[in-house]
Amino acid sequence: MNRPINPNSTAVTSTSASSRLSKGWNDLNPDLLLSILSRLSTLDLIAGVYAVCSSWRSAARDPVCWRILDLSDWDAVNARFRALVSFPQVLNRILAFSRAGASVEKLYLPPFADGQDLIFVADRLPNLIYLSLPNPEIQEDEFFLALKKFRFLTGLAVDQNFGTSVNLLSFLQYHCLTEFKLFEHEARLEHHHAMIMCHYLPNLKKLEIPVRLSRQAILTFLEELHGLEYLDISGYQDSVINNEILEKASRLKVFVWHSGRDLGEFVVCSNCGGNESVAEPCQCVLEEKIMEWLANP
Amino acid sequence: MARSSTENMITLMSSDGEEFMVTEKVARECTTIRNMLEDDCVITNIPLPNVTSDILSMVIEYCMEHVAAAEKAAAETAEKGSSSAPAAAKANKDLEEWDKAFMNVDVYTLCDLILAANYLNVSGLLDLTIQTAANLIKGKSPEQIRKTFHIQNDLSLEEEEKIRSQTPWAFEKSE
Repeated sequence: MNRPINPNSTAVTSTSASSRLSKGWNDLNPDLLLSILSRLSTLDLIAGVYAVCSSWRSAARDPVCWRILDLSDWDAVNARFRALVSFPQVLNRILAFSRAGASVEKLYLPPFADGQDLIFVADRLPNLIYLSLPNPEIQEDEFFLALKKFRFLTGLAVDQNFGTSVNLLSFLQYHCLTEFKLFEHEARLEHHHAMIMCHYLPNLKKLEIPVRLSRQAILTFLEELHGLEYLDISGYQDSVINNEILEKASRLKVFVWHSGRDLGEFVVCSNCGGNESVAEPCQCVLEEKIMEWLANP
Repeated sequence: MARSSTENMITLMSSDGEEFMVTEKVARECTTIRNMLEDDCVITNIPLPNVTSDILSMVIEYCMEHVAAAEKAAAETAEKGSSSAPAAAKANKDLEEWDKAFMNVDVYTLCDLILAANYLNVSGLLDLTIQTAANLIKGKSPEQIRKTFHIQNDLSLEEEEKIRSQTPWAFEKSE
């Protein structure tokens, strides 16, 4: 490679203190510091950045950093805090520090968070638009009480038992959900489950069901959910995805599935037939061939 | 590939007076310079009072590498009619590796590179340096972050005490 032509001096490779214009990390421009901090996780902010120095501390309070609160990995929370802490303790501290109550958009709860925790969250973060609630053991009345308070909720991730319960789904129809996810469960998701989900959640754009499910259920989702753009059925391993499914899935923007032939999981973008830019080469050509091969063995 | 001999050359001058001659194509990787060139197309000498020579030479190195990679990909596409996905994926991976090696710098240089990438508006380099800084923060305690970035702790004793009382667990047994 050609080095830049530099007639006046030999190449300099290390920065000497005297030639430096910036004053270092204490005084980094707040906007730039914020763009760094906004890429960090909830844990890195609350267990690290917030007590570094005054400029970092004030930058870390910006609501931009707190749109997503991810407390799903509770072992990591305890490891960072070096002591056992309770969920309300951590959430209260985060909210007190960040004053971010109104700006939190997505919350990922730890696996043990129960109905009481959920109501606690609903009181403090009523403006959530996405909630991930992995605990399968939550009282239905507590669940409903909390859901009533989340008036702007458009996305929800729950245990499969909740996700296929008529009680919950009929309650959720007033939320106009566009995003729905089920956590894995032993039971298989059958055709009739898919039917009630489609009936009560007709506006879904993104559906993640990486659980065991029947082929008829997949077809139901593809036929009934007209606005669907993203479908993850990577838990479907009963047999090879057939032509009928592939054809119906061709209108999706993202389709995640398991080939069933140990080819692994990959994302197929069926929309980019002619969309081959140099900067972002499209890999669909290759994957389409694999899909054809899988569909017509 | 052969560079056309008629390609315009631009001279960039660093804050400490060093001159760097680059092709217009490389200079245009900096949006700030591209805008200057579009406003005044006869401009050939651009002073950059906010960038030192050692940092400017690194920014130019980054831009040259990325221009070369884009040209190579374009040439391959032209040759074969369409880009082959595995080859393009490999080229992307190579460039990522190059970026990674390029980011093997001390934190002062990293800070200066962030400022230069922001001032010259090289979006790829800004993204790379910001992400590198974020990666350096991940998983660290406040003390470890201060040590890594050579930051002075300017929090007052009262503030520090307040932080400790709010989140005592974050300070116990610090390694």
